[in-house]
Amino acid sequence: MNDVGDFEQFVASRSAVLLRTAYLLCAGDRGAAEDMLQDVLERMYPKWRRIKGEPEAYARASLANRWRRRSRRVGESPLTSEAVHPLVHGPEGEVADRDQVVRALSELPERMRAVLVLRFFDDLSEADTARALGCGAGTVKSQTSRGLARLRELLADENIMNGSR
Amino acid sequence: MDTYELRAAMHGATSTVEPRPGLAKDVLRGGIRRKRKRTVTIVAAVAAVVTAASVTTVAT
Repeated sequence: MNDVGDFEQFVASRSAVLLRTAYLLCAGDRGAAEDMLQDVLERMYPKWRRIKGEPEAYARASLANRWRRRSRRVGESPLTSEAVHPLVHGPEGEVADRDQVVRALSELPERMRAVLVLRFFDDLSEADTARALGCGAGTVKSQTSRGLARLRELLADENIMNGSR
Repeated sequence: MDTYELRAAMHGATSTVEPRPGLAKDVLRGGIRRKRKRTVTIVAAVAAVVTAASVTTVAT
């Protein structure tokens, strides 16, 4: 199969998984996640033949890197506060539960959120997470520990709020 | 919430997230455009350097 065919097949088969990572990194901002993924994949195309190792790992690292650079720019940063999912009422309780974790993630500082997403959604090791985010393994460890604690607080608060309704 | 629950919650929260139809085609189109633009930039830069070098040679 030619390069274009390989690349097209890669995009078709792996874009859903990569989009989900981007979605969590952007705290539920679907539009920002799609833009970011498209940008990363487009940039991968000219380098496709030169990519060593797993293209998905390369794409994931590029996604984290792109997200990191994007988050520094005010005008282009993911619309975290606006992107927070609205509470879903009625019989769609299951959907509300699913959205709870996205809402809680959106409350976390960006790097902390990224660490949790890469460590526990993408199952990256501490070293790979550190490499993808351009920080030390110690930072990943501390951000993981603080992030999990903060997430527990946020989810507990939300459960209390939902319970009091 | 432990890490297993967090993992399950994140997978559950994204289970319905699917790329829009036509993303692969858009990506390919964008990638080809970027590659072409890069090639044109490189060719233009090389042409500029060659022109500058030949002008300098003629002048001296």
